Amino acid sequence: MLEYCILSVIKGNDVYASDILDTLKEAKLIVVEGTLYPLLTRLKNEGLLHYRWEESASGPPRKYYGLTEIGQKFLNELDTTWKELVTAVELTTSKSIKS
Amino acid sequence: MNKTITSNIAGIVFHIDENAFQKLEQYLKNIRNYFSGSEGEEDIVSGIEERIAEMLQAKVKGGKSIITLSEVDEVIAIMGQPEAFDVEEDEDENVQSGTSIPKAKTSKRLFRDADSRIVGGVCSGISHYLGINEPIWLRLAFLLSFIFAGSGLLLYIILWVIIPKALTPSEKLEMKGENVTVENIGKTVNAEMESLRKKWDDSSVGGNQGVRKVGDFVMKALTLIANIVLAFVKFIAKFIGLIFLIVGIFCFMVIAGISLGLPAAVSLSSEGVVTSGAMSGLLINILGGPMNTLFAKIALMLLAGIPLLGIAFLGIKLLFNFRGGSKWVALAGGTLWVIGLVLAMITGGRVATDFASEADETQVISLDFDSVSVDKPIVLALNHDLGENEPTEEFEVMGMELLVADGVLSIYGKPELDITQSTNGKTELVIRRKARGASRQEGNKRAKAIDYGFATTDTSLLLNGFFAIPDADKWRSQEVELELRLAVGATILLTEEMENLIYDVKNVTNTYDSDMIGRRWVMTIDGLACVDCLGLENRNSEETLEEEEEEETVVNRVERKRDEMERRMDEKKRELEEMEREMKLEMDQIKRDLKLKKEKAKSADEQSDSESSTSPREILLKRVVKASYWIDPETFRSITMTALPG
Repeated sequence: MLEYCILSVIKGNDVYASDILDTLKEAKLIVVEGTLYPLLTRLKNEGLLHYRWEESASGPPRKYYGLTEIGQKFLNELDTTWKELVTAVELTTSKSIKS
Repeated sequence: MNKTITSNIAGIVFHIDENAFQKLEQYLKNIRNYFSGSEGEEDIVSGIEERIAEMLQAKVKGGKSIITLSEVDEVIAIMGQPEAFDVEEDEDENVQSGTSIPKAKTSKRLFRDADSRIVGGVCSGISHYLGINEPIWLRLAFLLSFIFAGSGLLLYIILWVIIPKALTPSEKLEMKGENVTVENIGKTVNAEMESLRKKWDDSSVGGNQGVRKVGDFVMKALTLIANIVLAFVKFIAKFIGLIFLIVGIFCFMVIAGISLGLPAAVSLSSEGVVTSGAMSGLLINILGGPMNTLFAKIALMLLAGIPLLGIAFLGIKLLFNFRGGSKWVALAGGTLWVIGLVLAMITGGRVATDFASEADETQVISLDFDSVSVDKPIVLALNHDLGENEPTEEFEVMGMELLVADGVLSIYGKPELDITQSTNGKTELVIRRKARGASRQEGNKRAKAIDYGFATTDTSLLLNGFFAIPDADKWRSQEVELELRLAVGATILLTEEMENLIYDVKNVTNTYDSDMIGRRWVMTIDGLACVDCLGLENRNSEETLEEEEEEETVVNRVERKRDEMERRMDEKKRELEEMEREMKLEMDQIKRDLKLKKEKAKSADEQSDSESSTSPREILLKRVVKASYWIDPETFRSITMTALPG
């Protein structure tokens, strides 16, 4: 699930790790920031992500993450699965309330 | 005030307090350990480092120029501990990729478990290490061992000091890691074998790349062997460690027992079991003042104890696979040992000065005996009535007899008795007491204080078998030398008891001390002579025997020469016989010639008869005379007789 969120955040354009963190923390999806890094690395190793170095004004170069083609496909699949799941859950929960 | 360290984190320079820096460093190390071996280790760590740098940078921008511990704590709290990183991911990963991030394989290490401690967490820590679920048993064992002279207490304190507390989560994990047991070693080896076999099966399917596969297999086999050897070595190391630990602690307890005089501790000496209480008493007596004794005790504890504790420490290190700590332990141990050495030298010096000079005190006592004759000798015996308390313990250390009576240690020595000829015609006993001290006066005083006595009856001299050093006096190599001066004609009977007392008594027969006892001896002008030594080997006559033997060797030599000469004579005889045979042959020839000549002469002219008959005899004689150069006349005669018939 976290992976889905991360991929979604990255989806739009290349982002910096801190931006991902900000978004995720805002949504209260992660508690400790350290969690993100092993995840990012794994996604990258699976070929879903790529990164590039970009010079920054305030310090050393930063890593900017972006989706690969496989990543894009995988995200689409996840999107579908997620929507199906949500519908399924909604359907089930609303039914149980009725009865 | 805190030291500030300038540090570079992910390319950004920070000023960090020392303690904050250490914490941060430890944290990063933990993370690295946690992910070590997993894919993308570098990426993860550098990513986290970058993030930390970023957060710290934000703090610096916020107006603070130096990073303190609180900031680091805050950052670590935000980042979280490595264990929290992949909480809900575990199952997911296993299903998804099959190759989950392998947890860093930690070998088990010994830590104190502060979380479930009662005193120092030693017992619970060891329980974790040994895989015992309930530390209560270990605690009970320790509690029980406290009863035995507090040996367990000492061990506990040592362990408490040297085993580090599990501080970080990774240390806590290591503390609870897989049990290091023989079974587990076996398991590891089996797993290795299994994987190896699988590999082998796989490769046999592949077929084509045979050579490479074989090489691969050899490599694997070598690794396996190396692993087995390593496991074995580890096991041996642990075994040795255990022995070191036990021996070290035991010996230390003995040393401590001697030093502190603990009643329960028992030390072993060459004489057998000696209670350390008495040993301690002897030490105090030899060392003298309480100051010296204290010094010596501390010195002994440090000099002998530190290396023993070092061995025990080494044992613990080997046994529990635990690293670090050696540096400061070695430093502290070394320092204490040197202190011990200095103390020992000081004490040794102080005691040595007390042995500096020797003094003696001589006492000559005239003895009166009824009638002294060969039939009625002076009986020399031991005085059994020492008038002392019955000793409860008795043992010998360095030639001193130590007696413990009613818990009081008394030091006794053995006197030495010599028997000499009196110069003034009187029978006298000389008692020479010797002692050492810092000065002559002190030595003299000590010598006078030696308690030695004897008793006489009309016909006997009863000597004490021991002299006593007063309880108040220190042992300063006190000695007693006895000299019994006998007038010429006086006879003594040395009873069997005197064996231990007499020392190298001179006598005319040079009989050993041990053979002198049980016999009567009379003082002659030449010295002591034995009265009833019949059947006893006379060491003097032995010497004459030796001389005879020597003479015999001279005889042997002469005989040998004679034999040789005879042999040579035989040789010459043989030579002569040879010559004789030749001569006979020659003579025959000549005789034949002669006959021929005679016949010729008869036939021709009979005038040369006399001439030819004398000539062969003359020739022979000349030859025989030549040969007789080197034979004796008798042989010569016999030869000539046989050789020249007629």
